[in-house]
This record gives sequence, structure tokens and C-alpha cells, in this order.
Amino acid sequence: MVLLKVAWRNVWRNKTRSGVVVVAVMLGVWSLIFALAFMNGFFKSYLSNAINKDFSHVQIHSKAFLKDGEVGFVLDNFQEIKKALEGDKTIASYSYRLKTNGMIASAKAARGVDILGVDTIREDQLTRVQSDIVEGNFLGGIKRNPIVIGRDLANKLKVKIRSKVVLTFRDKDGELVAASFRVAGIMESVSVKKNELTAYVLDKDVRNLLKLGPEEFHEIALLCKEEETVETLRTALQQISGNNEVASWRTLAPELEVMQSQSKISLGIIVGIIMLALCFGIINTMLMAVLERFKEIGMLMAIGMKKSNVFAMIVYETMMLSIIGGPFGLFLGWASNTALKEKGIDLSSYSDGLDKMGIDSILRPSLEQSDYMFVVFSVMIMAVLAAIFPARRAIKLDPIEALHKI
Amino acid sequence: MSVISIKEVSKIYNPDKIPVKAVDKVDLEIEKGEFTAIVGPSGSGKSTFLNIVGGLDNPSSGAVVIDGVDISTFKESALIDFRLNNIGFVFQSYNLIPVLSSLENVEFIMLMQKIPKEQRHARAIELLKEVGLEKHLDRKPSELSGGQQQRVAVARALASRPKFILADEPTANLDSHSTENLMGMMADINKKEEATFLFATHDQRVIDKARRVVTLEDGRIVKDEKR
Repeated sequence: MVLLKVAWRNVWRNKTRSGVVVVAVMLGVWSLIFALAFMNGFFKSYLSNAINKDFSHVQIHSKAFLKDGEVGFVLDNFQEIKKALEGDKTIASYSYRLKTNGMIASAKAARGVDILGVDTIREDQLTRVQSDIVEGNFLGGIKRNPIVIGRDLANKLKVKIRSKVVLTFRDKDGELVAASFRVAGIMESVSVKKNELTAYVLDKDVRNLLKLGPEEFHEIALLCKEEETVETLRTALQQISGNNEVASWRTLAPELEVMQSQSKISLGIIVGIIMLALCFGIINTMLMAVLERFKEIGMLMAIGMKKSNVFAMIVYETMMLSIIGGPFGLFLGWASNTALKEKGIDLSSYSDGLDKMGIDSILRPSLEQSDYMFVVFSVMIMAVLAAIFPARRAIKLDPIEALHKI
Repeated sequence: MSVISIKEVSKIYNPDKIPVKAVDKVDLEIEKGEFTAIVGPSGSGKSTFLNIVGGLDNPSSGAVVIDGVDISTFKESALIDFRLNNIGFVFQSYNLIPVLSSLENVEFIMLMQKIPKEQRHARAIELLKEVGLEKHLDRKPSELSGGQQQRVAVARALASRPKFILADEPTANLDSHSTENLMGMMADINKKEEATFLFATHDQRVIDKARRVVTLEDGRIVKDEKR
């Protein structure tokens, strides 16, 4: 206890110096929390957009459809799957889709396109596509054969609202079919794929052209209420899916998982750099404190203070500096994250680039409680590590040398 | 039996290069309750001799026996323990712990000896009373005069109930009035508690108070005068 008392008083012998270290620790912890939250928010935004706009949590296809892409390969056991989806409380939303690819042609240009035949209400519940519509609306306002395409595709085709386009694709029998559609809406999505390569049409409009029956679909996409339930649901659906492949977003988009692990590495590097800077700041200060007290520490060892006690005293002093600054930094980090979580950080001046990366231009820092605990734990470890060098320097003092200086 | 028994102690620095004999085959016996001054010119080996007697350094040869225990072959950690429990130190620059009060400074050494709180508190108060500082228990070193700080240092040196007290130039930073007071006080304690004092000093006022004066020159005892 007395060692702690002495260490505590030693900390405040040079108030300015200790104050500077406390502020440095505070700012270090804050910047650590902010950097983690910013990067986390950045990645979450990307992941969330990729899942919500493109991949969903789970997709179901016929295995043969995945292999060949032929429109004749529709979902197996559809009725059973439909029943399971309707009764599952862990599912937030789902959509049945007809899916094929073909050509879209306007009077001025033609492009390859993924054609999605959807039910507007279900699709909007799943992908919030209505919120991406910047002109017109989502497959409404046009009586016959409405189509929604992305801004980039519209620009390439040089079409606008109510313009006529022709879709050409193969039907179930492999015959080429073509039909004209009118542009009902133009969307601008954070998904590059949707902006350039996707066309939404009503499932009823495309079903007849594909020569498919009323309960025949190529794809079911669904979102779970909680990410944690995805794998359980996927396994359960796989069991009743016969020849279908039930895949989670991790299988559908392995690059997202790679990015997730890369982001963890990047965060680790950022944490490491900030910790290292903090660590050297503390080492420098404590080394000065030790050298300044050369005589005193030498005297303590001369009169019989054990080296382990001298070591502990310096470690206590270092940890105290961190313990004082840490909570302030933690609070500052929590407060800034909370404030920015509501309002978000406006990165709209970089929106062009961010859009291409599939990231929102309003970034919301995000940090889990466990991340805060990680920061606290890291700072404590860093404080102990930073204490080792000055403490070792202290116990290596020769009491005789110190006495000669007396 | 002698409290301190120095037998043919030598200390040679740089034995493999250019050997320097700081202490050369010194023999000395210090009895309990002695009030002894070690004197000699600069470079005579006083400091080296005191370091060896105080267990801060090992001799190159010979034996240093304190109260029947030969410490000359002790390892560093054993010497630290030995110093704590057997030797009291008073330094030229007082060297109190600046963040502790007078009372805490005196208690600190007993705390390292793991003496229970009540006992160490009572003894610290008693010692500070003995050195005339009972009204300054809560004062930090910076709030005391040089003489008062050295009195606290003497109380601290006595606190661990050492076999002897080693004082290296204890009056070097004191004015004549403070020196007079300090030496009078140490002489009283020497008589009253039969505490053994060993001083290294240049100060004639200290030498005058000593009851034995040992003179070192070139690492050898050239004179041993008992009064």
C-alpha cells in the first residue's frame, strides 16, 4: 500500500510532465477508439450495403441453375420452402425472383444485362430499392411492361423515364424472345452492379416470356433479423431444399469475408501504431523521471529497498499515469462515437469514389462494447510494457554510484 | 565481541589493467557503542572503506564480519537484506524521500522490514521526539531546514534498530549551529541507546566529538586514536 502511496505522490511531483502524459494517454485512447470506430463504420457500411442491396443473407437456387444459368432450372420443392419461410420468425424479409440475362437495347445503344423479375412489394421490403429510385418510381406509373434500370446503364443507353427499351433473352426452351419495356424508374444504388448491370421488371411480365409456371422461380433471397441466425437458417433450409443450393453471403461473396479479415488486420496495424507512439511517449517520460531521481532511487537501494520493490514502484507510477488518462480517453471516445453515430460524418465531397466502392457518403462510426474493452485491455498491457524499460533502468542503478553523487 | 570486525580487507580496482589499491590490508575492530570518526585526505580510501563496511561493495580480499556474520562474500540481494536489517545510513545530502512526511520517511524503512503498522508508527514518533522534531511529524523534507532534515535522516537510520550507523560526511551541508546540535544529539543517542556510530568526515567539529579517530592514508590505517 505504501509503495502505491509513494508511487502516487511521485506521479504528482512534476505536475506539468505528468499532466502532459495523462493528456497524451487520453488523446491516444480517444484516437484509438475513434480510428477503430471509423474503420469499423467504414467496413460495416460496405458490408451492410453489399448484403442489403446485393447478396442478402441467404440465397436459394437450383444447383443446375447455378451451374448452367438455364432458365428452365427453377427452384426445387418451392411449396415446402415457401411454407418454411412464412413460418420463420427469424426472417426479416424475402423475395422470389425470376432471373435471367440478356440484352437491353435502346434506339441508340445495347448492353448486356441481368434481368430480375420481381414482386415490387417483396423486393422493396428486401432491398429497399424504392429508396434508390432517383427518377420515376419502382415499376409503377407505366401500364404495360415497366422496367427500372440503373443511372449508369440509362446513361449508356441514352434513355430517360418513359423511354422504350427492348429486352432480348432465351426462354425455357432455349428460343430467343424479345419484348419492349418502358423505363418506369432510374435508380442510383451504392451497388455498382445495380447501377450498370441490373434491370428490374415485374415477375408477371417476364414469366410468360420465359414460359414458366406461376409457382416457378429461379432465386429466393432473404434477410434475417439477426446476423447470428443466418447459419442456422441456412442449414434448416438446406435440409428441405432438395436439389437446391442454399448459400449464405459468405459463400456467395467470399471477397466480403476476405475484406472483413483484411479490415481486422488494418485495424490491428492502426492500433499497433497508436499504441507504439503512446508507449514511446510514456517510456520517455518515465525514463526522465527515473534519471531525475537517480540519487533517490540509489539511496533507497542503499538503505535496503529490494529491487523488486523499486521495479514495482516504477511500474505503479507508469500504470497510474495510464489509468488516469485512460478513462478520460475512453469517455471522450464513447462521447464522440455516440454523437457521430446519430449524425454521421459527412463524406459527401468524396461521394463519387465512395459510391463506386459501395460505401455510404454519411459514415457512422460504430464500436461494440467488446471493442471498448479491447482498448482498455490494450492500454493496460501497453502501460505495463512501457514501464518495463524505465523500471529495469532503475534497478540497474548502482547504489555506490548514487552515494558518490551525494 | 566486536560489532564490526575488518580483517585484512583490500579493495583493488582494475585488477587486470592498471590496478589501483583503494584499501590496502586494513584491520579494524569496532566495539558496540563506539562513536568513531574515519578521517583522512581525499583519495585516502575513506569512501571505499565505508562502502565495504556498509555492505555496498565487496572487498577484493579479506573479511568483513558484522556481529559475527561475514558479509564479504554475500551476493547483491543478500547484501540488500543485510543492509536493511543491520545498518543505518546517514548521508551528506540527507536524501529523504521528498514526497513523504518526516513521520512517513522514518516509518518507510520499518515498512520494508514488515514491522506492524502500530509498532512502526509508535517507534517513528518516539525517534522523531528524540531528535526534537515531534512538532514536525507531518512536514515534507522541503518544509524543513537542512539541520532538521538531517535529524529526520538520523531518526530514519535508527528506526530499523541497526547494529551500527554509518554516516558519510553528515555535517557537510550544515552550518555550525546545526552541526553542533546534530552532533550533540547523536552523541546523546550514542550514550542513551548504546548505538554504534561510524563517521567518515573532514569536519573538525565532528572529529572533536568522536571518542575514537581512525586516520586513513593511501588506503591504510596510519593512526588509531582512542580518547
